[in-house]
Amino acid sequence: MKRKMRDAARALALLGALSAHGAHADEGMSWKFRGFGTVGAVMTNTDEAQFRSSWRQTRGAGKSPDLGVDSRLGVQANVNFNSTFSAVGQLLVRNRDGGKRLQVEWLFGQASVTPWLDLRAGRMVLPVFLLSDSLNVGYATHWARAPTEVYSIYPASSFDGAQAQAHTDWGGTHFTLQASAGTTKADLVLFGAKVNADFKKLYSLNLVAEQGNWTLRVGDTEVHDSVVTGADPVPPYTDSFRGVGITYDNGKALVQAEYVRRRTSDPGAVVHIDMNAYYVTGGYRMGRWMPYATYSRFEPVGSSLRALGLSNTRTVAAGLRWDAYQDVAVKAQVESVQSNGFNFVNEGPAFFASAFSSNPRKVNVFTLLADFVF
Amino acid sequence: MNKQIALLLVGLLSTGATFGADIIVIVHPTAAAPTKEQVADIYLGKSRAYTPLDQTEASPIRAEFYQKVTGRDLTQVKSAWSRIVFTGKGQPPRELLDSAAVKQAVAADPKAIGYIDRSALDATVKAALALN
Repeated sequence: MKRKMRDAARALALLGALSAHGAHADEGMSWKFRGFGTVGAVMTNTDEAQFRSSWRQTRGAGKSPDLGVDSRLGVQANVNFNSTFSAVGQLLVRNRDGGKRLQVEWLFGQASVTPWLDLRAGRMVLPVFLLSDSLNVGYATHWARAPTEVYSIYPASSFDGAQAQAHTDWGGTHFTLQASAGTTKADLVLFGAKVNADFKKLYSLNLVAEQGNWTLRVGDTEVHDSVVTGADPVPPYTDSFRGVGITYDNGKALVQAEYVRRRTSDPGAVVHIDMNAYYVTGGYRMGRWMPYATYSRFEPVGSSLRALGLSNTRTVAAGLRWDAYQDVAVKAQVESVQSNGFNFVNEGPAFFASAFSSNPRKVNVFTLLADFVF
Repeated sequence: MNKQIALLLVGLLSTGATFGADIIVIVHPTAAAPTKEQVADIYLGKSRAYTPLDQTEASPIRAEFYQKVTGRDLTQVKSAWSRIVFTGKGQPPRELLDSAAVKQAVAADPKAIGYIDRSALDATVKAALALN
C-alpha cells in the first residue's frame, strides 16, 4: 500500500513536471494546480464513546476537542495535453483506514472523444451519492459534514477501473450519465472489530439531471464479489446500493433530500448488512450567513442487523455557515446524534449495548470548522 | 453607426430589456444567441454549449453579471465551481482583463461567450442578451 502511494505520488509529481515543461513548450498544453481543505474541531458531551464521521475512522471525538474527525487536505493537479486528452490527480490527507493518512484519492486519465462523451481510466470517484464527487470539498456544501447516517453506509469513496461519462441537453435539461466498472477496497472498524472490505467486481450507473434550480440524481452500484475479511470471515456476497437525491437551490433557499438503500445477499446467510437511510436538509442565505438544519435517519432492515437488536435512529442538526472570505467558509454545527452501532467507535460496554436496544443513546455533538479552497 | 445597429439588435433580441442595460452578453457573429437561462447554465458549469469567458474577480461587472443572470453572489458561484473543479469535470471560465479583451476573444472564437460593458460593444460580436 505504501509503495502504491509512493508510486502514485511520483506519478503526480511527474504529471506536474511534464505539464510545467509543456506549458512553456506548447500553447496547447496547460496545467492547473488547486487544493481544498477543512480544519475543524469536534467535541461531544460524553467520554463513553467517540463520535466519528466515517466507518473508516478508528477513533473519534469525545469530551475534549478532536481535530481528526473532519480535518483534511486535498491537492489536485489537472493537466490538459490537448483538447482531447487530459489527466487529473488528487492526493487526500485525512484520518481514516487505520491512520494511513496520505491517500491517492484519484489519479485518472481522460479522453474527451466527442463533446458529449468522456472516457476515463485509473482511480476515480465512485458516484454512489448525490454529493459523492465533492464530498471532501466542504467549501462546496452548506453543512459542516454530510449526514453520516447516509454518507457512511457506503464506505468506499473511489474505485480503480474505467468510466464513461456522457452528456446531453434535452429541452433545457442537462443530463450526465456515468457508467463505471472496477474494484475498490476500504479498511473499516465495525462493532469493535477491524474489517477489510474488498469489492472485486463493481459496476455502477449514475444519472444526473439538472434544470434551472433543480438537480435530480439516481444511481445504482452493484458489487458481485464482495469479500469481507476480519473477525468473522464471510463468504463472498453481492452488494447492491441504490440511491435517489434531489436539490433545489435558487441562490437564496436550499432544500435537499436523499434516500439510499443497501442490500446484500450472502449465500452463507451469516450477515446481511441491509439498511435504508435518508436525510432532509434546508438552509437560507442572508448575505454571508446561511443558517441550516438537517434531519437524518438510519434504518437497519433484514434479519441480521435487526436480530442484533439495532433500532431506527436519527440525528437532528442545526448550523450556520459564514462566508468569512471569498475562499473560506466558517461553519458551526450543533447536533443530537443517536448511536446506531456504526457512528461511534471505542465505546464503553454500556454505550455499546445501548445501540442494540430499543432506546439507543443520544449524544450532543459540537463542531466548529473552516473550509477553504485554493 | 455599428454601435447603433448593435444596440438595436440587442433591443430586438431581448424582449423586455430596456436600452439602459449596462451589461451585454456577447457571442461570435455566426453563433446562435442563447437565452438567459442558457447563459446561467453555461456560467454555472451545467452546460457545455459555449466556452464561457470571465472578467477579473475584482471587476464590478463580474459580480453584477452573476447576480443578474444566476441570482447568486460570487462566493456562491465559486462554491458551485469548486464542486465541478474538484471532480475533474471542468475548469472555471478563463479570466480576461477587461471588456475589450473579452470582446476580442469572442470575436475570434465561434464557441466563445462573454459579457461586456455596453460601451465596449461593436459589430465584431453579436449582442445576445442585455442585462438591466
